[in-house]
Parts: sequence; structure tokens; C-alpha cells
Amino acid sequence: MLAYIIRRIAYLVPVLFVLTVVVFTFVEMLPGNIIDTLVGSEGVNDPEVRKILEKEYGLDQPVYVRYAKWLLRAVQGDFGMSLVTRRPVAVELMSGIPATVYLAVVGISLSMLIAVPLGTIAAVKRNTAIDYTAQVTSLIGISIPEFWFAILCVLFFSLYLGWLPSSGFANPFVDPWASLKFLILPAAAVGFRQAAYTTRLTRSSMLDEMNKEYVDTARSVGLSEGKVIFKYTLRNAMIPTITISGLQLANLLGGTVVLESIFAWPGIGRAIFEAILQRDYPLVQAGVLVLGCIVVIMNLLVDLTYRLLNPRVKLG
Amino acid sequence: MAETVPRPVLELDGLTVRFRLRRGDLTAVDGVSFAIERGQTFGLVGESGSGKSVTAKAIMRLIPDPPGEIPSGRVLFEGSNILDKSDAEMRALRGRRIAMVFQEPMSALNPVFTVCDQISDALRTNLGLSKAEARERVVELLSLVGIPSPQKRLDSYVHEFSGGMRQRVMLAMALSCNPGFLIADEPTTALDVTIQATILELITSMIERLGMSLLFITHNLGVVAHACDRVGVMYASHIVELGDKREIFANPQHPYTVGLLNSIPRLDGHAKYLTPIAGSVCNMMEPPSGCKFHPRCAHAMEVCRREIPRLKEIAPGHLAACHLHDRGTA
Repeated sequence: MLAYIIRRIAYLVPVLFVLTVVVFTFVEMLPGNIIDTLVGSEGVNDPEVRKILEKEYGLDQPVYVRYAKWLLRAVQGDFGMSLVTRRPVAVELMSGIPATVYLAVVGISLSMLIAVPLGTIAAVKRNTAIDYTAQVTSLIGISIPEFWFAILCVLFFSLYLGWLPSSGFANPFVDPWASLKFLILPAAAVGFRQAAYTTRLTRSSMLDEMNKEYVDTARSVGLSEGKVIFKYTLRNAMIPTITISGLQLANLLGGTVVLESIFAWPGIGRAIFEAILQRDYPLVQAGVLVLGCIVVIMNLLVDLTYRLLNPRVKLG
Repeated sequence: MAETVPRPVLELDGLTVRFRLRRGDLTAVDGVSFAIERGQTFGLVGESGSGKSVTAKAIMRLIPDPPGEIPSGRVLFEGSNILDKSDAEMRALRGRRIAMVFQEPMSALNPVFTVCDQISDALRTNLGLSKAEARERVVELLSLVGIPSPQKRLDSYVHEFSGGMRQRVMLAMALSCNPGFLIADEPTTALDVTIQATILELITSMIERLGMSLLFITHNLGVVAHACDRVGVMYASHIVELGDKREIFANPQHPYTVGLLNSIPRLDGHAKYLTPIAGSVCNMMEPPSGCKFHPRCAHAMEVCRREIPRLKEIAPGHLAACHLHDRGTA
């Protein structure tokens, strides 16, 4: 088991290497660089100044040299300074992680709390009004673009009703009440969409499982219908649901760039997004590393959970 | 006719089960009647799709509705009609009074719960045992059905058992709450040939030891010969012949039963070739008119095409549904 986990984490090395090479190349291919950002903002457009700045930032060297230098420092744990804020990249990114994790975990939990009971009931009461309502709602959830739903929520709950702040963030440990108010809309936007997928998945895998013979066996020994469905059948039906939700969580932890931008949520997605806009190479590179780690580790966690849920699976 | 017990354990009276499918209605069980006396083993024989398993599920009230429905008939279990019972009354019956062993133990047992979890849940629900008591009882049950070192296998999952062992677990689960009546739906069909006899032996010895009655569903007449007292032969949703085992084997009255018996390989060298029944089972969505067997029957007459033959007593306790007997030609 431990050997398996270590091997899976070792996969990170090639994954991250390829990832950083690709990202480094892509950012290089984008028109403009950090000098444009700086020069443009400071109103200076002197070729001489530009030359000096480029030398100072090391941009006069070819891309592979810069990548090699970056890599050499990165493996020693030095990710450099943000070109824009001049603060260490690690600090910049780490400050975004809690907010992202907070939103992702609350969003996924919300979606599971809605989707699993709803999908189960839809399956049990298939082809009834409840089922159709659940199905149509989840179809809407899948079809509506996330950002549009978010903006509608802001319009309705913030501008029209004035119940909730339209954007912003408060530390839940400092001011839980304010934090909750900031959290509701983004979490609902995340949760609604994820719940839409999860409901459909839970429904269809419940329908599959309910046709299996072990369900009749459980009934044939006199267990109550509630136990048959919610214990014996749901546990089997949850195997695909948990897998997909874990992958969804991995995605969300990578930062919901669009939602974080709409709600001015100070997460890692927004940090990387802005870094790309400003051609802040060190921040982009380190951000991608963090995302790569998150995805690989989340996949590992999903596999481990899968093993817990499904005893037939052997890891190796 | 050794049985003199006044009331049968189970009595089916004109049981009909219909499925309303998108392509039309399918009558899977049509007017089936038979009775099982206390302590008796009743074999229900027929090909796949003849309605045997549906009959079993109807007795357990496990027919999904929709699409299934039971438009007519009664299932009298110890005198009261199962079909009239509430869900709660039915739950009280299941496990404690009637239990069932399914054909394929791999799919009939839950893959994500340990054997102990599954069996002890039944024990705790039905008998109100504590967790520890239930665990102890599961050990007893597993050793009762011949699982070696049950203590060690308690927390295993179904996939960790071999086919024969799985069916033993299934049997342990069915017997867990001391039901008086057991339905075994092709319990040996999915097993390796070498294991089949062992499991069959186990079931019959358990039944005898615990004084239970058994409805044994099979397509295998050899199994019937070994295990059953009385036999019902089903073809295309109807019971076509009903009688004591000896009568059925020695003196079969329905052409279908005769056909089935002729297609059993014999080891005593009497027949060089097997005689299969001509044709194949009819399509139940569009069953033939009259006697369902007439398209395959060598003795088919005009009347067979028009009228469904009724079960008639040919000898005491021996019934057959065939027009041949109307004319006294049998």
C-alpha cells in the first residue's frame, strides 16, 4: 500500500516536468512580456530603458537557458520573486490556496448533499413528477454556463434583493458571519453545476444497481425498503459517484478561474490568471507546478477512496 | 399419498403474472396452481423462460411493479393470501418464515459488504440480536453450511469465496432466521459440475435436518429425481403436468414431460442417442393459440390449436394438461 502511494507520488516528477516545459513554451509564445506591462504602466517607452530592464529580468537570454535556470532554482525550492509584486512567488501562491480550498470543498460538499439524495430519489421514483423535475433541473444545471449562472445570481440576490454581497471574501476564522455571506453565492454557483452532473450520475448508477439481484436478496431476508435502498444499493451506486466527485474536486482545487474572477475570490485560480495576463513568468510557472501536484494527489486520493468503497479493487 | 397434514404450507391458486412491456403484454405465469405440503420438497421444472423464476419471485412478492402485475390468483402461505398483505406484513414474513436462495450467488450477494455484515443485518432486523450476538450466530451458520474456519471468513467479501462457498454463504443467509419454507431458484446451475452435487446434497440435508419445506426450481430433471417428492412441469407459463416424482418419471402423461425425460442422458446404456424435443420454446410475446406446446408436439390435433387444455386428474394426485386425455387415448 505504502509502496503504491510512493510510486504514485513519484509519477509527479515526469508529469510536472512536461507540464512546466509546455507552460514555459506557451507563455513565451504569447505576444508581449513583463516589460510591456511595466513600461506601459510607467509611461516610459525608451528602447534604452527597455534593454536595461530586459537584461535585469534576464529576458535577453534564449528561452531554454531561462528555463534551465528556473528549473535549477526550482528543484532547490527557490521559485523566485513575482515580477509584478516583487514578493516571493511561494508567498503569493500560498496565500491563494486557502480561499480556493475553502470554496472547492464547500462547493463539492453542497453538491453531494443535494445530488446524492436527489439522484437516489429520482431513481427510486423513476418516471414520476419528482424524477422529471430532478432530471430537468439537472439538465438546466449542465446546460447553463457557469459564469452566466453566477452573474444571474449576483443580479438577483445582490442587486435586486440586496441580500448578499456581490463579491469579495472574508476570513472565516476572523469573521465567520461575513465570510458565510461572501461564500454563499460562489458556493451555490459551484455546487449547482457540480450537483447537476452528480445527480444524473447517481440516478443512472442507482438504476443500474437496483436491477441487480443482491437487491432482491436483501428484500428476501426481510430488510426494510429504506435499508435496501439507502444502505445496500446506494453504497454500490456511490462508487462511480465518489470517483467523479473526487475528480471534480481536483478540478475545483485547480482554481475555478472564472468564478474566482466574478466574485473577486482571492484564490489560486485568479492569481494564476492575473499572472498570465501580466506575463509574470515565475508566478505562472510555480502556479502550474502547484496545480499539477494538486491534480496528481487528488487522483491518488480518489483511487484510495475507491479502494475503500469497492473491496473488489486491488491496488498495485 | 403419505401426507395427511391438513393444510399445505404453500398453495398457489390460479396465479397469473403479467408484464406490461413497451412491445406489449407478456404473461409470464398463467393460472398456475399447485400445493406444497409441510416437509415436502416440490420440484418446479421447465426450460428457461417457462415462468419458474417469476413464480418464485411472485411468492416472495419480488415482482417489480411496474412493469409487473398480478391480475389474478392467490398465493396462500400457511392459509393466508400473500398478495393481500401489506408491505410491513410481507417484510415480517420474509427471512423469518420464507427465504430464498438465488441462482447466481456472485450477483445475489452484495459485493461491497462483508459476509458477516450482510447476514447479521438480517439477524438483527428479524431476530433483534445485538451486534455481537449476530456475529456469533453468523459463525454458527457458516459452519452449519460447511464453510471451513468460519471465524476467519467472517469479514471476507463475496469475491473472495469460490463459487461453491458463495452458494453456501447464500444458503446460510437464507437459513439465518429459521424460515420454515425455502425457495431455491436453480441453486446449482451457476456452479461447477463437481460442486453441484455437493450443494444439492447440502440443501436437501439442511431441509431434512431443520424440518423445512422446499420449493426447488430447476431445469434439470436429474436434480428433481434426486431431491424432490413432488414435481410440477412448467412450459410457457403453464403447469402442464403435476404429480409425485415416481409417477412423473415412471408414467409421464404430457408429451412435453415425455420429451424432457427422453432428452436426459442415461448411463445404463438403454439408448444410443438422445431424443431432443423438436423446435424451440415459443416466443412469449406472441404465444401460439391453444396449447402452447402444440407446435412442437408430435401428437398435436385440431383441438390443440384452438383450446388451452386444462389440468385434469389422470390418477390420484397426478394431473396433466393435455387434450389427449380428453379422448381417453392416454
